[in-house]
Amino acid sequence: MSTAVTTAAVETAGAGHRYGDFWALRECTLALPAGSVTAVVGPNGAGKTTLLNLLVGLLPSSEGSLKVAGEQPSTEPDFLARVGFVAQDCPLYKEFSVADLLRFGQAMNPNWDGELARDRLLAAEVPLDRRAGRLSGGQRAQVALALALAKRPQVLLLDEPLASLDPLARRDFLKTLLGSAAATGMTVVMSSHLVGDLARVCDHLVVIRDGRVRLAGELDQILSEHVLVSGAPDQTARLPGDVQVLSETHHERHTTLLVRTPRPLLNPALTTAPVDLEELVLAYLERPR
Amino acid sequence: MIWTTWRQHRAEAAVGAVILAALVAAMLTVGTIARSRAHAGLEALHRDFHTIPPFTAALVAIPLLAGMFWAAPLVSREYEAGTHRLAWTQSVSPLRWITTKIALIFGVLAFAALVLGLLATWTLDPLVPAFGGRYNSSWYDIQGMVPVACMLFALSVGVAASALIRRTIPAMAVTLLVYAVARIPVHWFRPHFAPVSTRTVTVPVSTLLLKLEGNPEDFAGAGASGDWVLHVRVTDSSGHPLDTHNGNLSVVQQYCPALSPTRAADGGVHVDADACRATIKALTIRDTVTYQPASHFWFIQAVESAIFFGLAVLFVTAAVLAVTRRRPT
Repeated sequence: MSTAVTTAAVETAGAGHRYGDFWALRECTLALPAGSVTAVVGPNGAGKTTLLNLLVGLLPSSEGSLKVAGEQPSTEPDFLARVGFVAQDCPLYKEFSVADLLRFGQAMNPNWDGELARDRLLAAEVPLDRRAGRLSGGQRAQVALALALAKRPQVLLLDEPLASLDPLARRDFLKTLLGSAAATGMTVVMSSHLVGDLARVCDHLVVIRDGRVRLAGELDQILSEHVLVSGAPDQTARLPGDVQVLSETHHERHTTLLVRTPRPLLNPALTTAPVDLEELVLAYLERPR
Repeated sequence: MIWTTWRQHRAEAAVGAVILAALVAAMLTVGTIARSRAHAGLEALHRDFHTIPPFTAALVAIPLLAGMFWAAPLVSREYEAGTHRLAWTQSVSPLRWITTKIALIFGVLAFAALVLGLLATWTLDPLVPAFGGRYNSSWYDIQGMVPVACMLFALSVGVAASALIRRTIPAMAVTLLVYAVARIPVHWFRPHFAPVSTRTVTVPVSTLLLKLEGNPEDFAGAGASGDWVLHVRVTDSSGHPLDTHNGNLSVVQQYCPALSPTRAADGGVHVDADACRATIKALTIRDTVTYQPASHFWFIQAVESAIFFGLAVLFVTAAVLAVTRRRPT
């Protein structure tokens, strides 16, 4: 990554977490700049939830170090006040009304911006007097997001926030989220098992599988570094040494490679084409380590 | 945190308030009526208030129910609903979260137990002489400080099970089990929480002859004194144990082997006692009584309370450690 990262809002160095003998996450090294919007992508069980729980301090790290909003994640109120968290499945107290949940947020957070939360929920047409257990999935997600945003966090972490939402609710959710991120300059990290959900909205990407980070970086740079190369097999076999081949498809008379290259390939015998993000992520996920 | 605790537990608080109000009303009523009848004598009190001991014995379950239904779900229901990830990612540390909840809920319920314990002590005051004193196991546990200690102990077991097991139903079952296992043996140890006293009662054998269907232990003098008679050893005047398997009759027969009783139609025992009467004249037996004096009641209560306050501290510590030590969820 060549980005001039002056202040990384989320920084991990060789971080990991072990459940007994099983490493859910190992040697995770990331640097996400302040104000960035990052998608953490990987299949179920890849270690996304573990990573987010480490970042918010719900889990202790078994190795390495982490820094979020300039501090090591912990259960200290000072740290928790700087971090917003929307947990998987948007857990809420079912018997609380939405207004009760806002009061809960106010009682539990010193920097609480109740007006912001109320405005967001009114804009999303969430009835404040309804009990959380009777809200739709999209409304639950909006309430969970409003609770996290009203903390006015420096870093907002969201675990699979879109998983249970229909396309319309997804769009509304992302609209609220990105509008707030743009207005406040906060750093957003969200996980998903589908990259398609987040490709349009994020500027950083982390691909994770089997507890290991497979790919991490700025999205534009990742897209510019990766290219589909086609040509006769004898030509595609003679790529420069610093070009990394991620996958190859053999056709009758030519071969197509997905490669990572630090600079444009100039061989006229080869045709190059930009790679689709989803295809790129799949290539990293399918690759044996 | 205080508002959050109130909002999460206000339904339980309402149920508790109703139960408390009903018990306070019942105890005030019983206590008032018992005082108005105190002049009627112990036998009349015993007859009129014979439903009270079973009722007070049932009240012993109150701390256990509080532990099972209030404390055992305290942490586990957060885990079961996933809301621990909401609660513990606000700007409140899990330590403050659990300690505030414990302080408020335990405080309120301990206060309720104190009110009931002191009120029960007052209510039973006119009744205890008619039912063998304050040590009567039907109401020992609901008087004074012991209800407070039992309440805090049951709640601490519940919250520790809740935090360690993280599942409500198993936590309730474990609470029931641990509470029962800890409380039941106390009834065997309680007599030894204070030094016991002994006294000797000398009974003329001729007195036994007048009441052959009775037992020699009856003269040990428990009853209205409020002492807790633990053991009565029946011996002859020189200290040799006497056979008491058939009550006074078998004791008298040891002095007058010829005595042959006949059971009459009215259930009484009739003997041809004339021959015997001369033999036993001036003979006595001895009841050696081991007992806890009524005056030790509050000391024994204090010892028992201290034990269960101590256990409560241990279980609360376990619960706090389980919540604050971050573990996989």
